[in-house]
Amino acid sequence: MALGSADTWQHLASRLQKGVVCTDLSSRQRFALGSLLPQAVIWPANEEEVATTVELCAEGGVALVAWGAGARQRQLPPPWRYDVALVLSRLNRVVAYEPDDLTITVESGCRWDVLGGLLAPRRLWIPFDVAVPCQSTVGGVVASAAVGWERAGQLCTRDLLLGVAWVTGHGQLVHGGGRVVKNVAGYDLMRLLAGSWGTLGVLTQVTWKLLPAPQERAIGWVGSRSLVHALQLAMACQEQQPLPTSLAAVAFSPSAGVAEAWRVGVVAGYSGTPEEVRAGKAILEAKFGDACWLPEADAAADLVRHVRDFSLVGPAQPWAAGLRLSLLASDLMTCAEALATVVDKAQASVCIWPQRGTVLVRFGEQTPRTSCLRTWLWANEFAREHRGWAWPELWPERWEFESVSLPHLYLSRRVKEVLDPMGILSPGRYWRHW
Amino acid sequence: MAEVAAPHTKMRAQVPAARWLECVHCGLCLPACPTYLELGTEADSPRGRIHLMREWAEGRVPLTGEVVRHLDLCLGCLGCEAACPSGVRYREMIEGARVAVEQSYQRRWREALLRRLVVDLFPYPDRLAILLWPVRLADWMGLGPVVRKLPWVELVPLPLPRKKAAAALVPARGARRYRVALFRGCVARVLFPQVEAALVRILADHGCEVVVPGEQGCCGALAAHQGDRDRAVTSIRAVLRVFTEPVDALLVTAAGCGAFLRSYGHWTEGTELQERAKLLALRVRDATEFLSSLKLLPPARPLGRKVAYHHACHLAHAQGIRDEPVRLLQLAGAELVRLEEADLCCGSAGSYNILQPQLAQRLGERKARNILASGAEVVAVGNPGCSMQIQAALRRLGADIAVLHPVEVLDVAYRESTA
Amino acid sequence: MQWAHLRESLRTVVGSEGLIEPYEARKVYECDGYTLERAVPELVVLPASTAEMCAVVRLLHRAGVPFVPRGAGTGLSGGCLPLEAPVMIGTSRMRRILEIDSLNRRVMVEAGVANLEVTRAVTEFGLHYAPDPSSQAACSIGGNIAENSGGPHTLKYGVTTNHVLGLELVLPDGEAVWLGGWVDDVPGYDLRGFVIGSEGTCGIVTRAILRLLRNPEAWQTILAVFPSVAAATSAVSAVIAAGVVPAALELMDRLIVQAVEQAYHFGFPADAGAVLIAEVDGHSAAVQAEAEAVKKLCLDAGATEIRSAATERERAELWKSRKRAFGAVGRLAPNYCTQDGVVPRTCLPEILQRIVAIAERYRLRVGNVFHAGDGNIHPILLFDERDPQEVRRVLEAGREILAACVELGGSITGEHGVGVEKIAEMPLLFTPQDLIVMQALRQVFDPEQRSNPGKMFPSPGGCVEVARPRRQVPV
Repeated sequence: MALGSADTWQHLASRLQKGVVCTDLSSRQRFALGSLLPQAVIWPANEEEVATTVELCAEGGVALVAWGAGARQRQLPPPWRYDVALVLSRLNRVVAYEPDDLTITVESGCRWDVLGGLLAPRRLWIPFDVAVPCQSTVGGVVASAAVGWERAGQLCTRDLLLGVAWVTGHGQLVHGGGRVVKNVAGYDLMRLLAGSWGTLGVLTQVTWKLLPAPQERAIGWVGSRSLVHALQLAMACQEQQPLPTSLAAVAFSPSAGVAEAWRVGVVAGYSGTPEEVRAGKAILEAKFGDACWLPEADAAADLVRHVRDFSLVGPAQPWAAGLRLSLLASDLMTCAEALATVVDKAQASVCIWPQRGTVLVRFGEQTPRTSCLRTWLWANEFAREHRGWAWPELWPERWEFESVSLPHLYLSRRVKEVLDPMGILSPGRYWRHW
Repeated sequence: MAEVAAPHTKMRAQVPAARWLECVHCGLCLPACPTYLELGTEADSPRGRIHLMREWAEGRVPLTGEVVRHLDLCLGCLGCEAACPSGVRYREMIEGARVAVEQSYQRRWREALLRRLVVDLFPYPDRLAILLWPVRLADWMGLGPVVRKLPWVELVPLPLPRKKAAAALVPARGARRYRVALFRGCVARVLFPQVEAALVRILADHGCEVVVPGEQGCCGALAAHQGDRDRAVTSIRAVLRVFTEPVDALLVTAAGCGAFLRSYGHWTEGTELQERAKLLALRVRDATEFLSSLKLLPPARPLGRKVAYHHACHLAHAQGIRDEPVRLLQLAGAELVRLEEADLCCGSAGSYNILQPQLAQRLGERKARNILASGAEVVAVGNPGCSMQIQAALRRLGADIAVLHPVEVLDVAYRESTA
Repeated sequence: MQWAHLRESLRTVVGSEGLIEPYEARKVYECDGYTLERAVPELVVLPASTAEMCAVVRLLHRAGVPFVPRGAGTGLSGGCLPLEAPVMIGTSRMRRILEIDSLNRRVMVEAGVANLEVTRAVTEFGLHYAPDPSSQAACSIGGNIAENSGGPHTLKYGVTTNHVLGLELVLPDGEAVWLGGWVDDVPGYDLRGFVIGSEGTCGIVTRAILRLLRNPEAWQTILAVFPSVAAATSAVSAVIAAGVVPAALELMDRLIVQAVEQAYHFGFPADAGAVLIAEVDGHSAAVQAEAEAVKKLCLDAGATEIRSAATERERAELWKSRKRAFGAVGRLAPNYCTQDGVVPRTCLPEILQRIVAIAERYRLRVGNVFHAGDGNIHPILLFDERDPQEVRRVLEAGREILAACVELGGSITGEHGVGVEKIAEMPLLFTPQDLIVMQALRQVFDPEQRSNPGKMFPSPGGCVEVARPRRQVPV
C-alpha cells in the first residue's frame, strides 16, 4: 500500500463504517496543525474501528494524530509527518458509572464538561479543574496529564486514573489497571500513558476515581502591586489552617488586555464543608480586610476562569509562546523576583500556583522572539540550579527536553519503540526525531 | 542410638515443636533487633534466628559453627518480644537453643576457655575483686585513664569504688512501712556499691527496713545465658536457700538479675525447687519499680540537669518496666531529654561485650553517639552492665557524661537539696 | 570456576560483611512473609551504597547472572523468592536518611530505610509519610516502591506511587538512572510511575525522594460494633454516599473480633458480628461535624456500640484491636494465609458471602479483616502447615476467592503485589495481549529478564501459558 495514496483511504473506508473517512478539503482544514494538513480525517465509532485504523496505518506507515476537542493541540509543535487526523469525538459513551463505588469508566472522546454535568447530581467530581472544560475531552486531559490548581494541586490526572484501554502503535487494543480504586496487579500503564501526548497509543477508555464534591466553595481576590508582592500575599494565606484549597498569584502584562483591577493579585479559594469555607473566608477578611474581594456566583466563576485557563491557549488569551517551571515552594520567591524584571521587559504574563510549585509564563504575539528565547534560557538554568525543571509550552518551533537526562531519554525512546515501532503516532511531536 | 544423640534431637527436647509455628515470619521484629540494625543480615535478626533454630530442630540444617555464630550473636535483649504481634516466646527459644548448643557443639578451645572464665569469675565477687587488684593498683599509680584503653579493662568504672561491707540489716527511719530484702548482684556489688548505698538510704528515709542477707551469690543469669543449665540451677538453689525471710519485696538494682529472678519458675520446671522458685519470683521488684510505688516526696530543690534515660533491655523488654524509672527521674526534677533509639541495646547484654567484643563495641558507640546528640549531661541507666558499656563507649568518643543509676540520680537530688 | 571468580569480585566490592555464602546463613533468605513457597539463594549480596549496588549489578550483568532484589522481606506475595535467580541483592545495609527538606516537605532516603523510620525522622517538623502498611515498622521504602504498598490510610491519602516523587533505579546492566525528581511535575514520560509497583522487574531502586504530609490539625477515631458484617458494610456505603472521605475505614468480621477479644480483652460484646474503625481528619472545624455524621450513619445502620477517641492515647487504644488482629489470629491456628483481593465497594457484602461459601466448601476457617473504604479484602485462611491436604485446600480456596473478586469486577491484588503467589491469576485480569505488551515494556528496562525473573508474569518469554506447577510446600 503506497503511503498516503488514494488506495489507502479507500482500503480504510472499506474496512470501517460508511462516512467515517473524509478526505474533502474543508474537513481536512479543520484539523490543520501549523502549516500541515492531514490527507484524511477519520471518525471511528468504537474501539474496534480505532484499532483497525491504527493497524492499517501501521501497515502503511501512515502517520496519525489523535484528536479530542483540539484545545491542547497547540501546546505542542506540529508533527513532522501528519497523514491522518483520528478524531475520537464519537467515542463519547459512558461505559460504566458506579456512583456508590466512586468510579466512572468513559470513552476518551467524552467532553470534560459533559462528564462534570453527569457527576454533579450525585455531588461527585473528578477533583481537579481542567482549563477550558468545554473544549477538552477525557483523552486530551489524560494525554496531556493535565494538572489543576484545585485541591492544592495535589491530586491530578496521574493520581486519579484507575484504568485505561488504548490502542498501541501496532493497532492492538490493550488494557491496564482496572475499575477498582486500589489495584497493584501488573504494571502501572496509566501513569505511563498520562502525559505521553498520544505518542504511545490512542486512548479509548478511561476509568476515573471520583471523590465527593465539596459542599461549598468560596473564592477571593486581593489586588496587588507586583508579582512578588502577590506571591508574598499568597504565602501569607498559607500560614493558617484551614489552608486554601486553591491558590494562585497572577501578573498579566499590560498588553494582555486584562482589566486593570484584575491584572496583578492573588486568587485564593476555599472549598469543603461549610465550616471550613467559613473559616477560610474569615482568614481572608482578617488578613486583607477591604483589599479582599469575595465575589459570588458568576463573578466568582469568571475569577476562577481567569486563573484556570491561563495554563492553556484559549480564545480570550492568545498566547504565542510560553513555558512552565516546576519548582520547590521555597524557591518560588527567588524565581518571582528574577521573573519580575523579565516580565516587564518581555511583556510576559505570569501565573504561580505556590502549592504545586508551578510557574507559568506566557508571551503575547508582540513579544520579540529573542526575548522569549532569553527567558527560556534563563528559566532552564534557574530550574536546574534549584532542583526543578523547566520546559517550553506553546512553543512555535520544535524543541527537545534538554533537561531530561540521557538515560531517561534512552529509556523513553525504547518505550516509544516498543509501543509504536513504526513511529506513526504523532511523530516528532513529543521527541524531536521519533 | 546414634539417632538419639543427633544434635537436632537435643534441640527438639528444649523447645516444643508447636512453639515454632507461633512465628508467622512477618518481620516486625527486624527493626527492634540491634544486630540486624548493625549488620543487616537476616540470620542475625530474630526472624532469621527463629528460622535457623527451627530448621536445626527439624533436621534440615546441621548444627555448624555458622549456626552457632548467629545464635551467639544474639544479645538476648528481647527487643523482638516487645515488637512481636503474635506473642512469640523468643526468650524460651533462644535460651533452649543455647542449652542445646552447649550439649552438642564442641567450641574451639579459646572460645570455650573464655566462656569458662566468664562463668567461673564474674559470678563470684571475691574472685572478681582479686581480678581487679591490678586495675586498682594502676589507678593508684595514676594510670587509670591509660589502662582504661585496654580491652576488658575499659569496662571497669573510673574511679574504681572501694570495697564496702554492707550492713545485714538497715532499720527504717521513723515508722516502718515495709520490710524489703536487697539482692546485691555479683558484679554490681563490686563495681557499683554506690547504687546499693543510694537505694538503702532512700528506702530507710521512707520507712523501709532493708534486709541484706550476707551469703548471697549469683542469680545464675550469666550461666543461663551461656546455656549452662546445670550451673544456673545450682545458683538458683543457692539463692533460694538464702532468701527465706518473709519480706514484702525482693529488690534488685541490676535489671539483668531482676529479669532472671523473675524467670526462676521457668528454669526450675520439673525440679523440686519450682514451687519455692515461683514464690520468690513473685516478690521480685526492680528498685525503680518499688520506689515509684512508694509515693515519694519530691526533693526540695529540683535537680535541673539534663538527663537522658537509656532503657536497659532487661528492664524494658524482659520486665516491661518503662515508665517507672522515668517517673523517678521526673520526681528528682531532672530535665529529661529525648534519646534516639533509647530502647535499643547498648551491646552490654550480660557477658556479650566480652564474648562478642566487635559487635558490642559497634553497638556501644551507636548508643554513645545518640547520647551525645541528645545533649544530655547525665545518662540514667538501670543496669550495671549497661553502665559499664556506656561509660566505656563514651570514654572512647572522648565525652565526659556521667552515667548513673536512676536511683542514684534521685539520691543526688535528695542530698543536694538537704545540703 | 567462573562462579568462584564472580564471588571473589563481589567480595572485593561489598567486603566480607556484605557477602553471605554459608548455606545456613543463606537458608534464612528462602522466603519472605509468604512462607508457602521457598527457595534458597546461592549467594546473598548486601551492598551499602548506590555505588556498590551499581558495581554488584554490573558484575552480575557481565556474568549474565539473574538476581532478586530484597528489602526487609515482609512481602506477602513471595516477591523476593529467588526462584530462577541464584543471587539475591538485599538493601538492608542501605539505611541512611540522606536529606530532610522540612520547608518543602520532602525527604531523600536510601531504599533500605524502614517506612516508619521516615515518619519518625520528621515528626519534629509536624510531618509524616502517608502510606502506612501494617508492616510499616519493618518494611523498607524500596520494598514499598516495588509493591506500590498501601495501608489503612490510603483511602484518603493514596498509595506509595502518590508519594514518591523521584527514585534512583539501578538498571540490570548496572547503570543508575534518576527518574522523577524533587518537584511535582517532570517533563517526559512518567517512567517513575511505571517503575513503582513493578515488583523489582525493572531493576533495583536505591534511593528515593518522598513527599511528606503535614500532620492533620485534628482527627477523630470511631470504633463501631455491629451485629453483622452486612450491617457494617451498609454503614460503609452510607458513609461514602454521604460525601465523607474518612482517612481510614477498616472492618473486622466475627472470627477476627472474637480472636482479638480472646487475646486482648477489649470488651467487645460476645455476639459482635463486626467491628468498624473509621478515622476522620482535617481541619478542626470540619472534623467534629464529620465524626458526628459518621457516628449517626453507623447507628442508623444498626451499630450496637460506638466508641470514639480524640487523644493520641485513646486513638492508639482503638487502633490496637485492628493492628493486633493478625497477631491474634496467629493464636487461633498454627498458620494462616492472608489473601488480598479487591472488589468494587458495593460488592463487599456479596464477596463476603462468597468467601463464606468457598471456605465451607473447602472445610476451612476464614476470617476477614479489610480496608472497607477501598473494597480491599484480606480473607485470612487458617490452616496447619503440617497437614499437606489442608495446605492444598488453602491454596485452592485462595485462588477461588481471587477469581470471585475478578468476576465481581475487582482485582487480584490491592496492595500485596502479584509476586509468585498470584501469577496464575494474572490471565483472569488481563488478556494475552495486555500481558505481552507489559512484558515488552519490561524489556525496555531489563532486556534479558535478569531482574527478579519468574515474577508477575505467567512464564518468561512473552507466552501466556499459565499452569506453572507450584513448588512443593515444605512440610
